[in-house]
Amino acid sequence: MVNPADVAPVRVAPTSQASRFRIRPFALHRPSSVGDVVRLLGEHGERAVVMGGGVDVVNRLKAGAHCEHLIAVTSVEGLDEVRLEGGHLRIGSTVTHSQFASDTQVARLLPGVQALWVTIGSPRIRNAGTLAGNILSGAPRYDVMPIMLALGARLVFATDEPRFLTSIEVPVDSTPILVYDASHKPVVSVAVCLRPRPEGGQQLTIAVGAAHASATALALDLPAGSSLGAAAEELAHEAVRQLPVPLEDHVASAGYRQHLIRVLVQRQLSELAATRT
Amino acid sequence: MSTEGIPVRVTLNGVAITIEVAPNAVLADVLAESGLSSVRVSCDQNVCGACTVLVDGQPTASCSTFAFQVDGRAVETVEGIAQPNELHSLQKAFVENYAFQCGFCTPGMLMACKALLDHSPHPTPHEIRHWLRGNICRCTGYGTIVAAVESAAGRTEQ
Repeated sequence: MVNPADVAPVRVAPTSQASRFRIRPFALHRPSSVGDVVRLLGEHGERAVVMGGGVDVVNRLKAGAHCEHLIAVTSVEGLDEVRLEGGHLRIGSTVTHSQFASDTQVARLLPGVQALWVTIGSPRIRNAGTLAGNILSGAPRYDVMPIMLALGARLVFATDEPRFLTSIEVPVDSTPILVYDASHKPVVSVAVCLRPRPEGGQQLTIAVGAAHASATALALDLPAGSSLGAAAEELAHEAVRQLPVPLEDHVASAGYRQHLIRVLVQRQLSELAATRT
Repeated sequence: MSTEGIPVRVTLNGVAITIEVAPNAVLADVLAESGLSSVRVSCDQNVCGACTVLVDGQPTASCSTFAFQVDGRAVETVEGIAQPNELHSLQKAFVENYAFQCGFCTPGMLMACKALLDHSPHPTPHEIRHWLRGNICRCTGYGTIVAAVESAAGRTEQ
């Protein structure tokens, strides 16, 4: 066994035959505050890339994405926390999937959502990847965006710097009930969320992933006293009517995607209705 | 800001070292050039798991991690899990259960399995398969790998 202590420290250039993709040299910045990140983005503009866990960024750089300045933000104070603030769960932009999946506040306030997180990626992805990075990747088949859309979350960016996402805020003043079905990816994924409205009745939010250029959602108001189970089929049809026409590509036709959206929405509404009886 | 070599302080297989790396150096390359031949790159896109090492005990894709990201942390590879004269219980179990054929996925598979047993000493077969969903093996069909993990878990209990 080679003892690494016997190997003298050497300056290592990326000349190994291990990797096949080469990443162009860049200047590395490791800021410790949001202000520093904003300043760096202001100085370097489009030549800079912000990196959290790096799951997507490293692959993009390997694919040739332009980066002269890499701003690694995992040391920025305050971004690695999940905090309850004024009826919202604030998820910092460097919170990893593993952190989110084990956070006690998430367990208390979003129990059904936390249980979904063991299905995201692999242990490697969950340990390194962040919820914010999953959203910012813009990949239509990723899971976090449809889930957060269904939950009515909003993205919070640094003041005067729309390129730097600092947190995701999920309203938790009323306990949402969410179901998510990704079993038919890459064709479609569907998240359905039900939460009570202050004025009575409930709000139903349906979010669809993988079926459009980006995840999309719509909200429907359910009057007080309406039966979710009885209305599931009509609501599913209404959702398909209101959603944009899905993509037509090598994976599936738009018509098949619409069909699956209707089936999955109806199934999830029936599931929600059954759990509440 | 740094474009030149930067120092990375890391505890590598139990030994504290400092290495100088370029900012764009990928961890898999740095480990391979340090003589740790178990670290190999297959898909190079954090899909297959062949390059899995442990960083602070967590499975990590060394092909998709920059070397600077492990500054101040502990990195483990397969070279570090055995004792001088004795294989790790997982390695013994892999041999006894024929849990490898071509062997290309095996280092990454072993490190992923080690992380599982470190976190969950007695996993069920379902838990083992779920944990290993990020480690692809084209040869074994995973059955013997699951059996090896169960065997190692039982050995640990003894």
